[in-house]
Amino acid sequence: MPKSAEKTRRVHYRILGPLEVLRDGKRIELNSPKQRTLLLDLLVNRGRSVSRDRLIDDLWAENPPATAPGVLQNYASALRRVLGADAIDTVGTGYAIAVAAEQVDADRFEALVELTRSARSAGDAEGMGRHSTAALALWRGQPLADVAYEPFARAAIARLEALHGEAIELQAESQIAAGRPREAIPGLEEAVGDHPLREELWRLLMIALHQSGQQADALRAFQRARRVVIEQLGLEPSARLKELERAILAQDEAPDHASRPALVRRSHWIAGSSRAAPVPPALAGRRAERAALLAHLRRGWASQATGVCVLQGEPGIGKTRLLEEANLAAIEAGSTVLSGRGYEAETGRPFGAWIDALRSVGPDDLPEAVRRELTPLLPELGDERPAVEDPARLHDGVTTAVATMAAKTPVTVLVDDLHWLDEASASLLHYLVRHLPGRPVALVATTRVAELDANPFAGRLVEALRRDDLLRTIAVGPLSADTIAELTGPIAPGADAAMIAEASNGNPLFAIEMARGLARGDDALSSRLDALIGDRLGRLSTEASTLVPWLAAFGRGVHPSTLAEIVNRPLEELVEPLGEMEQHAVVQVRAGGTYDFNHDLVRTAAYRRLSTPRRSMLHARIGVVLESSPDPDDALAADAARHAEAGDDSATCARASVRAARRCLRLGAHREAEDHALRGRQHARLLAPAERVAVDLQLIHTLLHPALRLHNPGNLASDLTELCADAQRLDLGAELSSGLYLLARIHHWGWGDIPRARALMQRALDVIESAGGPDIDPILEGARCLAYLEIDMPRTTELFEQLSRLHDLATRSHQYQWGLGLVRTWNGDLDGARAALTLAIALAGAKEDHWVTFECTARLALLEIELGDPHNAAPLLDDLATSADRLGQIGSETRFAVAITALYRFVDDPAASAQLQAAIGALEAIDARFLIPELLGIAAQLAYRRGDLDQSTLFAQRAVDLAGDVDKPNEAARAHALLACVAAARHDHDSLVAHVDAVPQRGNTLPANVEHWLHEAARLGGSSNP
Amino acid sequence: MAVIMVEERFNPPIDTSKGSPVADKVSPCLGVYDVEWLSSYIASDGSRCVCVYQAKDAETVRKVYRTAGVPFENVWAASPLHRHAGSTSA
Repeated sequence: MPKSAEKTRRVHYRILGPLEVLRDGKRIELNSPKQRTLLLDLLVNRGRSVSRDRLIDDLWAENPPATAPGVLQNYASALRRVLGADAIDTVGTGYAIAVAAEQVDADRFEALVELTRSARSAGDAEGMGRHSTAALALWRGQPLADVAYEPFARAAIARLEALHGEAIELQAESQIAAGRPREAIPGLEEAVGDHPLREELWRLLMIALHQSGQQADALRAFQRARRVVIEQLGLEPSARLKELERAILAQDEAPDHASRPALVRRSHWIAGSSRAAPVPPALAGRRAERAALLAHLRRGWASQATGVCVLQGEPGIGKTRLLEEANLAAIEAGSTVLSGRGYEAETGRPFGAWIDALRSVGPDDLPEAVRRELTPLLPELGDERPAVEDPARLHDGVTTAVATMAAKTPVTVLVDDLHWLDEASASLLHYLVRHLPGRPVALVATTRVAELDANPFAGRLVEALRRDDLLRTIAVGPLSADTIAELTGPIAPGADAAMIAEASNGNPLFAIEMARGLARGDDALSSRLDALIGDRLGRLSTEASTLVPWLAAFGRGVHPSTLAEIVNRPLEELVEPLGEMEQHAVVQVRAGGTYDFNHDLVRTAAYRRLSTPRRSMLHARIGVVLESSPDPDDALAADAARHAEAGDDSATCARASVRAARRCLRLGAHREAEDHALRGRQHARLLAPAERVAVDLQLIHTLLHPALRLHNPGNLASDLTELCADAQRLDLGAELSSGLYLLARIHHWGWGDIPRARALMQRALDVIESAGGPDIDPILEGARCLAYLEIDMPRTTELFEQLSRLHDLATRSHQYQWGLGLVRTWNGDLDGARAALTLAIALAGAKEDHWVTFECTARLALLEIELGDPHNAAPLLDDLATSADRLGQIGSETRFAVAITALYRFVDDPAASAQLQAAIGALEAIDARFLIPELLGIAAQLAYRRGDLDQSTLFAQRAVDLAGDVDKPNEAARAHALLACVAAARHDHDSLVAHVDAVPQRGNTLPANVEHWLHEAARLGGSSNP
Repeated sequence: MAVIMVEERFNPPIDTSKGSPVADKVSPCLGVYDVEWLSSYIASDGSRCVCVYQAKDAETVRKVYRTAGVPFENVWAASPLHRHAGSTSA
């Protein structure tokens, strides 16, 4: 390379800002403005030549001097002298600049933007961040600033500015994708000022603000964007931007991101979620507490911690602030954070804290395998709404979910205000603590000591954890005077911090309120905390202060859209006042995007300012809004009932209580279900007659749930009798049948008065047949039970005949088919029995009811063996063993299955008798005598049919003895009938008569098989009627 | 009639102040199966419990539990052992 060319190559041109020319990093000064303009013109047109005429136009516009061509040439020569002889080429009468891409910052900028785009396409957030940051580092301000108003530069400037906007977007996108939305905000704020019509920048700004927990700011950004486009373009924002606003309001994942690269979709969209936690102010003091807390977290993440670390102290002392430190440390360590809290007003909302905690993770991060188990808590995970038959299963589901998440990254569980946990949440926390040792999970909670005594569930949880050495307590005590000074200094400069420290007892919340009061010029040092907070609330604008009572009455975090509905104002009108409250540290955005007071003491102070009639009015309105909101999972019902009760709105309270109780039953929270039902009944009295009957019946139905303790069945029965009379009077068919059924239930299960219960059930079925009616599954279970215990079978048969007229039972209910199989067996309809039991097995299998599957399979196998057809029985034996295995070894099922298999062998092989005896011995060993008479009875039948009268006698005699012990009169009857047959075959008339007489003579109430053997005995004994 | 013991484990542990939730659950079936609940002994940490019933045999009690859908650990017939008698009596 010639020396001059080398000299030219070492020159770098910076045009992304005022022009700078450097050689080897040193600036070359170009003092003549026209010389600079010429150079910039050539740089704008780099890669091509510019004619002399055009250059003259560009430099002097419409008034070029006559000497312009000569002056131009002089400028070019001067540039060559400083930049290098090869820097400017003469092309015809024009000029061109000789420059490589790496010499011009704009070219490097463009190349880096291109690299960023490629990284984005590859889903490489890190590469996107690196390249976009490098690109933006080249940007020094207005590009081509020296010639910003020159026509020749306009197109280039516009292009560079567009690229700049894109670079900011890409950088912001990478920061959001990397979970650092806060970092993107300053750049985006500046960029929307520079590029106000670039909608993508507004969109990213809204997302970044939202993810940083500044929901109100995000919504304000939308309003700003809207104003800009309306003012400048006369248009509304695009549908995409509006959709984002809606999603922020609804706390959805931004729907338009479905088409974005995966790296953006991975980010969390829910404000207040673990990764988007707003950064709290710096922690004052608390070094020792923080160190202990972080040590606990690290032990937890390293699978070495056992139990919960509890931050314990008085209200306002700073427990939640320390919990925020734990959250920040967890986010920094890449831990998945589950964050929930107890609310004083939420004891009727079972699993409330866990529902919030699981939602704080975001649905994408919940392990696929346990989603189904979690749907009772998070109905959004599935279409089904399964009931929780066994709360332990729900506990297992949550524990498995946490363990699965912990297998990927350590998990941190944070529970604020543990002292207000509802019973179900406390119980689940206990379960989790006991089942997660050895996993990388850290658990931290905060609690007030005094409040623990008031909540027995939380108190017992803490006691149990302490007893099991699963509790680590960090006492959060008063702050020192110095730390208080550090906290209050910036708020009230010059105030006497020592006096504040003393007056506030080192309580930071109190101290800050005092400092705020002093800064306002109040005599804050002698004020009480709630008065100070009250003063502060009183200084909010009218707009904001009208929302305070509603938030106070709501009792926990409220979603802005719910609040808008409650106060009956458009959502947009709440953005400013909520923003103001957020700015004044009255409220904050919590997990799920709900707005809540910064501290419960603020809520208490706000609530105390309300008069009793005003409170009542607020609660009533909240109750009505919640009760009328779409709520397919009844998740709002408990709150609706609580508010309606506080608002003296009995009608709403009673209706909401029905749904609240139903939800609690679904979640296995029986005590809460009972509480809701009892409260609802109190309020139902004030409803109009028809609704009162319907609501009260539904509430009584809850109280009669098998899982609940049956209180005062006498009172319930008398109430039900009255309700049935009312239903009849008001011609309410469905309610009448429901009431009759519930009465039957009390007579059956409560008092064991089976004839009365059956009569009521039959009446209920009559009404159902004529007028339609309620869910009859519980009636079915009762009927099936009668058939199982063979109680008054002729009438039970009638009951099943009546049930058979109800259209969908045959294909739906395993209880019905099981009962039908038993009834048909008893009546000797063996083909019918076989069909019903086969269907029952299929239905029970579909419902994973293993016990019913086992019972029906056993029943069907015994039926086939009794008929002496081992080919039909053989395939059932494997199924029998499988379903017995599913039930485990704790019951009798495995032994019973072995005995049935032995009996099956005994059909063809008399030698299997030993095996059968051993199997019966095994059942006796666990005192399962209840099962043995039937086995012996069938064995006696098989032996008799083979002509082995001795063995038949042996089995039948034992069956007689045992059937008496365990009160199985039908088995005793069969055994006596067989013994009568044996006696007849042996011509032992006395014995024949004795055994026939021993069979209970109850008209037509004997099972078909007993009738059969009695006829056989009669035939052999030569009498038509033994 | 025999004395039947049912051992149960609770995971999570139950609230001992509320009595036996199992007794509440199985109680609807007791009358029908002719089983009488006599008493329950719950571990102070709520993790296990022994319920005592009077019934025809252990299997009847198992059926009650199965019907109510309540899990159990073990069910067995028992006789009281008196301090001075040195032998069992029914």
